[in-house]
Amino acid sequence: MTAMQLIRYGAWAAVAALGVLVAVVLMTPPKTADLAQPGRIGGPFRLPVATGGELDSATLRGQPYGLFFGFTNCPDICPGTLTELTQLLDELDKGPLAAKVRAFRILFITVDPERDTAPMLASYLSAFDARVTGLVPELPALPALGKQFAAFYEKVPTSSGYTMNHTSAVYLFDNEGRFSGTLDITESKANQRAKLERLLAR
Amino acid sequence: MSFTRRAALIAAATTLTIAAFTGLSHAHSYKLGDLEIGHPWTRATAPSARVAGGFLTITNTGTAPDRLLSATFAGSASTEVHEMAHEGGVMKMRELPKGLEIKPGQKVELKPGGFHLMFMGLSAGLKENDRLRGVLVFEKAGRIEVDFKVESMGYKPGTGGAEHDHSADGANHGANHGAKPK
Repeated sequence: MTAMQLIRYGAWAAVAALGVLVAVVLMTPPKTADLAQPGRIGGPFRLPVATGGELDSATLRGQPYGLFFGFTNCPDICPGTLTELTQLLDELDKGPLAAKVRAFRILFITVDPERDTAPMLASYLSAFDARVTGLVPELPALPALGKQFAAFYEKVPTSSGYTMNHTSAVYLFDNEGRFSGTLDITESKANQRAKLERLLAR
Repeated sequence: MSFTRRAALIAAATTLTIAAFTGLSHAHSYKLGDLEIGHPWTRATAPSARVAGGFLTITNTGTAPDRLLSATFAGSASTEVHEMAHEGGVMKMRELPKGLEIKPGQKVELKPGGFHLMFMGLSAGLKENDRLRGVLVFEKAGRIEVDFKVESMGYKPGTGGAEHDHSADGANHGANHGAKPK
């Protein structure tokens, strides 16, 4: 074997190794949660539904969904977010993603189960798109749930009762149940729409 | 004066009167001493919702500061003066126990995402286009009765509303709705 041959084989071996590396990188599913946020967001949950029964997150496999923490005694951000989502879903229903958006769901988890009974939340959500499902966790289940989604909530006493501070983001999950970022009412509607389209187009 | 001329005058006067009244009902701004209060409004509520935000602008044209101390609203058991802020991805609310100061020459906007009145314990849902009476109490200027116009649930000031155009409501509205959209 000449020196020239050695270099040639060496070069081909390097190309092959690079090819294998590229294939491995391409075939490994991206860790969306790790990319978007340090630590994991999401995971399985099973919660009582406002209209009755329970929702097991395993049944959501195959359909993307959004998840939002709120409460009915919320003057602005909750009805505002739900109104904008209702409008966005309505817009997407008329677009090229109509078939995909039909199966989309938005889960509204109350952070105020002391006041938000299941019938109250169901009645409240009847004002919005039918794809919004109300979930009413038991009060003791809330801290773990908040931790699972890195969601913040706290009770704030006021002179005539209390209100709640809470994370304003809508968490987005793809059809494999992987966390895929957030959208927020503080963003423009066009931006929110682009994020939903990207999620649905996957 | 001929009959036709008198008839024309009466017609003109009637038209002017109607125009004046229409103008009044659409203008929807108030003056109390040195304070100008623009377009008090709230939003239609979802069923079972027991709270709503109250919004308005207050301009202090005087030389001394004043303070919005408290308010009442015909549709709710209580009303508080609140501040809202979006901090670190969390929508935070807090009551302003000492009310809200309006410095001389300042225009303070009570709007979604910022200062607002918190109507708590609504006796019934708020329906779009309804008007409900409220009272604002200021430290120096005293008290004034105002009407809160119920806008649509998705209404945003400055954008002409989520679903309807508000531009026909008159000049005083325009001043308020000229607020920068977020």
